[in-house]
Amino acid sequence: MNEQSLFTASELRAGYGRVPVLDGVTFSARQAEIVGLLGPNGMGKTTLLKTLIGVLPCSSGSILLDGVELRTMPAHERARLGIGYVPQGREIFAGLTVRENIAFGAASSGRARRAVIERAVADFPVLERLLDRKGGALSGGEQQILALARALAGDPRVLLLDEPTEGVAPAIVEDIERQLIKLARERSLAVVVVEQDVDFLATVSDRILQMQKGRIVREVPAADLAETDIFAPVSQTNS
Amino acid sequence: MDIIALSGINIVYAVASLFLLAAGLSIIFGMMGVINLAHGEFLMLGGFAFVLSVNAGIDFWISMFVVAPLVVMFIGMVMERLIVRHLYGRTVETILATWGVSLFLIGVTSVTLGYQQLGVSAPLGSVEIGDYRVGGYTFFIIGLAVAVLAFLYAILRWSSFGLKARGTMQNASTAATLGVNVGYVYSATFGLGAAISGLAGAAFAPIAGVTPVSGLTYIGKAFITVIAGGPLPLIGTSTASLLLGFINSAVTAISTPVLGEIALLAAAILLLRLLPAGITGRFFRGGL
Repeated sequence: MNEQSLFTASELRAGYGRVPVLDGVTFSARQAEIVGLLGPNGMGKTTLLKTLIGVLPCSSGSILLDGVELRTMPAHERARLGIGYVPQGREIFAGLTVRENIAFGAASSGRARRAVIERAVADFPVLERLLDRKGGALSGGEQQILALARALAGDPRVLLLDEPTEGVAPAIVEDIERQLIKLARERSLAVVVVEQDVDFLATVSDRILQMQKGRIVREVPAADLAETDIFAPVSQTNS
Repeated sequence: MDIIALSGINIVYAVASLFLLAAGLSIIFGMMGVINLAHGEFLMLGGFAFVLSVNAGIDFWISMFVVAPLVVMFIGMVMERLIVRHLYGRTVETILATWGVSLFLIGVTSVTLGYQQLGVSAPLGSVEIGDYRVGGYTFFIIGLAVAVLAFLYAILRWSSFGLKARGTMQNASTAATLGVNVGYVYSATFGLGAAISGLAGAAFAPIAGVTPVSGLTYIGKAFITVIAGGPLPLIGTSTASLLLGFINSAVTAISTPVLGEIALLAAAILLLRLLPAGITGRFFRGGL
């Protein structure tokens, strides 16, 4: 790991019950860097993000945020220290309004609710007309934007995104691409994004890591991504 | 004319009583989904805490608004921490465990306080309505129900705690990833429901007295009201109280209290036959 790394995972092992999924994952992310995680289904990408945020416990390894060990902390403490998480399927609070969903993201930060909403609307103008609508009444794309705004409301230093383009219209995917790059640069966010949309990853990522069988097996240059067969077995380990 | 006014007051009182009996359960069961069979004992403990506090020389209103809610909130939070927390999502185990707590609390109060009725006199005198007199405490119960409804609505709708509680009850895992300590939120929400039950138990002690088994007379009505109200805890419980309290009181006025109780049960059964998801499962969607 280089000295500028804001967020580092080392030799992470985790799984579901006795079924191991992560088998020694090691990677890092710097401030203002977007790291893409690529790989076929079932290789441990979502499990990795759940382990990083603390929804799943890890059996061994280390998770460092700016030198602070997070591994034994519960999810809410990791979030308060600066880990933002947008889960697969968005997990919007369907019974809360858009305004309340955004405010929820900052509820434990002590920031003024009005300021949080204003900034979310400035980041994602489409939310302005939706503020009083229930989260469950939004389209998939609107929900994805809301999930992003909700995660950003907590002022994270690291943002973990799980399949942000899944079920989202192409026009909204382009919006998400633009905003993600802009926010990472402007707020010095380290972003780790799991995605199967190769074009999306090629557009937003500074580095792309390929996962296979619970390990990061190589780094793929964004320019070479179109020609890379992500389903082909890779024997060497290069994290 | 006087009799019409008196009947109207009795109906409003019946509605308010039903709401107060069910308000704490609307949080614990309606919002959190915990089938708390010890709800009646929360009311009973509130009554005892209030009466013992008044008998110990503490001011009547402080005993009611501070001592009783705090005592029952503490007991509720301990119960949540030690028992209920380990059973979220496990309905049958929760029913059995809270039933056990209910029997335990009845047993403990019977042994320590005796199997006797305790009470204090209701204050506030009476109000003349033509040829009739209505106890001032009747109006207090009506006002208290309105105040409890407004308090719960305000805290759940506008406070940071209310936002966290509503979100956490919808999806605890996501709430945790957004920085919310869900264990604290569960405990505090359960404590809020218990405190409201304690207040209600205290409020009814001057009218009905309190015995170790007082809760058994309350719990059925409370559950019927919350279930008939449907998924929105506050609007559901208040509208069900309005409907069932009106029917109970109206039938009592023209017949007997026993027939009034039967009418309440029959109305609840018919309501759930027609609206299986309760009143707010069909109407008032999207509120609290």
